[in-house]
Amino acid sequence: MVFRRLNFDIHAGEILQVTGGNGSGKTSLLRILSGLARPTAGSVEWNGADIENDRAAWQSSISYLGHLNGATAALSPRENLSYAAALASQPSATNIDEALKRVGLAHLADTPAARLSAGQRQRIALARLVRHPTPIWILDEPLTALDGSAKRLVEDLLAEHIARRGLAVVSTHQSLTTASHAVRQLELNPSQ
Amino acid sequence: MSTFSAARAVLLREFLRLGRKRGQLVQPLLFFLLVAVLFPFAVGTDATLINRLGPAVVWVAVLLATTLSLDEIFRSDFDDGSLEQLVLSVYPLPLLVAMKSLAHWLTSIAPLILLALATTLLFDIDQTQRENLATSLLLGTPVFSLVGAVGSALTVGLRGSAMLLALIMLPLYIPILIFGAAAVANAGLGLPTSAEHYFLAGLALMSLTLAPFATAAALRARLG
Repeated sequence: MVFRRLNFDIHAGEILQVTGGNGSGKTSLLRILSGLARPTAGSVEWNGADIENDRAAWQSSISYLGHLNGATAALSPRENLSYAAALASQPSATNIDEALKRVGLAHLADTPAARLSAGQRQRIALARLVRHPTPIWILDEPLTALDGSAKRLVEDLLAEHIARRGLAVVSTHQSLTTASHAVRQLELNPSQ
Repeated sequence: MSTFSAARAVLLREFLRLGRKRGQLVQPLLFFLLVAVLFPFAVGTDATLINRLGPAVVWVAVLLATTLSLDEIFRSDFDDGSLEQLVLSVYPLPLLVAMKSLAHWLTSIAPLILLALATTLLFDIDQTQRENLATSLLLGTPVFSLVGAVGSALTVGLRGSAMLLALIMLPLYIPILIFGAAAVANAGLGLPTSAEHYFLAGLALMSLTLAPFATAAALRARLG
């Protein structure tokens, strides 16, 4: 068992920052929230209903960015994004070029992701968030491998997301400054 | 934005992705060619014996060459996280994974079938037998892609998954091998072959209806 007696609410316009030591279950919690994994006991509810009752509605409302960012190495950022758009439930908010410009990959739009650095591949995943602003973001260590400017970008994206009355669950140990008024903390410790 | 465009995007992405990993696509073809070319040397100059054994050798070589390519159906998607995104998409997962099976068949097995037909020249196989080989391969090999995807989904992300996958899949492929090779052998003896073809078609239809659901369930279980 990773954690038990864990109970929390999160509302529109809030960021829940999940912290805790290595192995405290941050990733497990986020995978359960995303619907990838199922809890042994307990449930995830959204608008008062268990997400298991209407998985399609839940999946069309969330964006999940895991440890593995989902950028295919053999494809260029542009190809990655147009594939992601075809799998998305809603039409894209911006076109690919604007999204790539926003995340600073405009000059690498047609370079295979295999030739990009880890931080640049993470930026492809961020461009996916720019294009598909679903109401709920679940971000697992989104700041890993990112440099200073990309960290600010993540914080700006989160601030915009909050301004749209979106909500986000973010696991990270770094403090989120831009939207600090909206951040709530959840600390997982192994004894819970 | 629709189920159709999602399915099409999965298919096109497979072509792009696999098209840029040509080394991996060529490997099973090379393996097949080596087996098919070495075999007549080992059998010797007995033309009737080569002709009798030829179809069986072609079928076994196609089967083994196919198992080399199964691991790739889901492995690199698992490694880079795009499999998570696929599972989390709102579109029906069985349909999306069926597209991956289709792409596997078109990129890994269709070239193998063409090569298999070309190598029949080495085995002194006549025209009726060659046509029969083509029919039985076309009917039987979709099962390899569809059922292979189930095995690939079950073993994705495990260490040494390629070997495990081969061990899981080979017994399941045996019925295809029996009916496929029997069809070609019967054709060589002038016997009717429709029973074997019906069996192969039946197995292909059964895999088409059941395997994508099993693959989707296996993926959810592996990622969960």
